[in-house]
Amino acid sequence: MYDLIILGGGPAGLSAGIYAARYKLDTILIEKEYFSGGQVLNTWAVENYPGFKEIKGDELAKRMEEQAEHFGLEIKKETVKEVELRGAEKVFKTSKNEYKTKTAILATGSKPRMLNIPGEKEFYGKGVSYCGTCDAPFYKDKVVAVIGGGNTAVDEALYLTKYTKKVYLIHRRDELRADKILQDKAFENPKIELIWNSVAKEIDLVEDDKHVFIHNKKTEEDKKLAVDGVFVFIGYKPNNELFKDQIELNQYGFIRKQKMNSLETNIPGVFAAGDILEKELRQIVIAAGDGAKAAFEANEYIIKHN
Amino acid sequence: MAFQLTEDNFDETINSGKTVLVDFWAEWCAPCKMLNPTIQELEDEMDSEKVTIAKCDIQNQQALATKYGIMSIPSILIFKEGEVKEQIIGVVPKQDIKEKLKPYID
Repeated sequence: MYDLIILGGGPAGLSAGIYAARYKLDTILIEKEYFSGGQVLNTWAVENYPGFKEIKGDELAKRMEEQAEHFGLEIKKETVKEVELRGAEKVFKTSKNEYKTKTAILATGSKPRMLNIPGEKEFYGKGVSYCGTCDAPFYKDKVVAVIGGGNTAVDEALYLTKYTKKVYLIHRRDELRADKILQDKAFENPKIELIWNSVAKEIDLVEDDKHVFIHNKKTEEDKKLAVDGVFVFIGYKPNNELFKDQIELNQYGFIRKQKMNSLETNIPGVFAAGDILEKELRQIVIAAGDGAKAAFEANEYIIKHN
Repeated sequence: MAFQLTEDNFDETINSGKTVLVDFWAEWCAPCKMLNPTIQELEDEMDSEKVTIAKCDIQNQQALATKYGIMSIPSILIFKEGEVKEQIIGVVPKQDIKEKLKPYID
């Protein structure tokens, strides 16, 4: 039986892994993708992680993984199918193996939210995209819409201006949620046109009449906007499918914090870290902080219960 | 390493009589890198007499990307007798790709 199993290999899980390995806990981290890093992998440039003025997302992820492995963390690239967290012995079943552990850290993160409007699924990969850094080069001298107003949306809008002729940044409120430094960059960029108080209603990217219908919530007006592509960055939803019946979640599906100063979930010995946890701000540095704290708490739990 | 397609060998390959899976990718695309090992495993597991697993670097082969309407990567096209039969977009599990390939192999 392991001391600790960490579920998820993003910054929260890898940071927990670094700390757990240094505590000499008998630990494995289970990550379903071939590369650790989670959402960081899809980030073009990270500019707000201390120690790096600018670093590519996949480079940062690689360094975190190398650091964890350097201290002896074992990473299993397997997909967990089922978990049983409630007993003193917690069980993780993957497609290949069954692992047992005294404590667990849930660091499964979140995934991009979809608009769920007509045309979104139909034109996914044919003009609808969730990755600006992947697909921007397809829109050389074209016009695109970016939906959203948070850090990711504004960051991706700025990246898209390197290729496109014009970017409409469509946001449902009358101010952006993104960091001020990003907002200023967006306002100063002549290729970005802000469209406030508006939501996307329908996407139609059939040749010769490509457009998105938007609805202004203040004026109640509908408008047809000619665009070649639509990039969607409207936030994230929690990856809670594996444990939603066992772990207490908040109304949005994120793991509920039970106590101010603890990352322990409603189940003793099970901790949560990173984006999966209910919080005001989801950032790499915070996920890493959570990971450290969760590993510390798991270590304390093991000492107390041995 | 999967077979690399260019404008020079693309048509010849998709008309070879075999089923052909083409993974459109680029160096700057992180999800493409995540899909890479899956493509490698498919190549190892599939019968090479029946199916060709190939890759197309869209940075050097923009004309091919345009021709097949690729607007998002990673994107997989499955060809049979020179025609596009299926398109799979994004990082998907190996099993899903196998399911899509199945009708064109037996």
